[in-house]
Amino acid sequence: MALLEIKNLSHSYGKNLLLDQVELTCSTGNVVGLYGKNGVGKSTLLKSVFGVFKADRITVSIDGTIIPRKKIIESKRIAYLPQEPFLPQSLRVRELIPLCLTSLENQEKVFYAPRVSSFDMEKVGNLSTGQLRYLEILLIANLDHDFLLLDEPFSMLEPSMKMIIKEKIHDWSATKGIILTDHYYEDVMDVAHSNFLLKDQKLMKVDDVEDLRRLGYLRE
Amino acid sequence: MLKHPAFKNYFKDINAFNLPLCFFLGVIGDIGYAIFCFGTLGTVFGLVCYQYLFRAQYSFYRNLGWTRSGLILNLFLINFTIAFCIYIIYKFIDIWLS
Repeated sequence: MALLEIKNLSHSYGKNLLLDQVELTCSTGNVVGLYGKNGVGKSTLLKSVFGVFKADRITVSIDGTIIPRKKIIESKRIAYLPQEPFLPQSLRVRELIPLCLTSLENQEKVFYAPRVSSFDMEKVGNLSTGQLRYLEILLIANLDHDFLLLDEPFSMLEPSMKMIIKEKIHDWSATKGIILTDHYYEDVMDVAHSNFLLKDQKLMKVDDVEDLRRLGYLRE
Repeated sequence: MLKHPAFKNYFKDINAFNLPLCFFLGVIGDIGYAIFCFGTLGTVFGLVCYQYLFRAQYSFYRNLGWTRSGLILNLFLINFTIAFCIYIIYKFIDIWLS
């Protein structure tokens, strides 16, 4: 079992404090759900953990070993699904899968995932937004990395694909630690084992939708 | 580096901008300058175009363990080496023909 620890995450834009001494842990086998209104720093948190955003202060460690920001990507322990499309558009899906996943076993997990056969001959640039998002999630999650950071994985997915992804997240969580954030809070709650609301620069533990309502994320 | 399939894709994408520029320089000017450009300014031009049009794709490479600086450094090394080798061959042919 691997343990990802995020400590002392602080960041401010000018005089506006966005994140203040945020601490979060995630172990393999665990799915952590993050909630928060727009602009509270959810994506900043995920980008900082992945090392692509330079926060004012952050300590990322895996199994007690601190990983410097510039070594996080090279360590190949953490995978990150950004909000925006990021796959090379000019390749066909069946060319892209082996490009991304070197092991045959992982490639087959994507090739034989539900619905993929219906678009595997298409160019990535010709996929619908939902198909593209679905493919992105499958590719990222089937990397050998121990931890997944998923930024809005459910957005643009049709209900049936959402169901597939939820089942997959459950399967992936057997061997990976997953931190995900999405405004489809009910979908996140369905798959997350522990939930946190980012509010007033801090993470607050929440247990159910009632807590989200009480803390002002949802309207009364 | 070129054996790594993902890096090969990045190499191809950058040089898709670089090569037409070098070809253009070769047609209107000197071939030697076009070759030199491939390993230097043309690569910079390719990187700028890629940054402008496909910046989000760096996330793809990052997930595979490639940092942006790592990709750029390796690209420069390869393009410069290719340009240097082609320039030497070009010079040999030039001397032999003259």
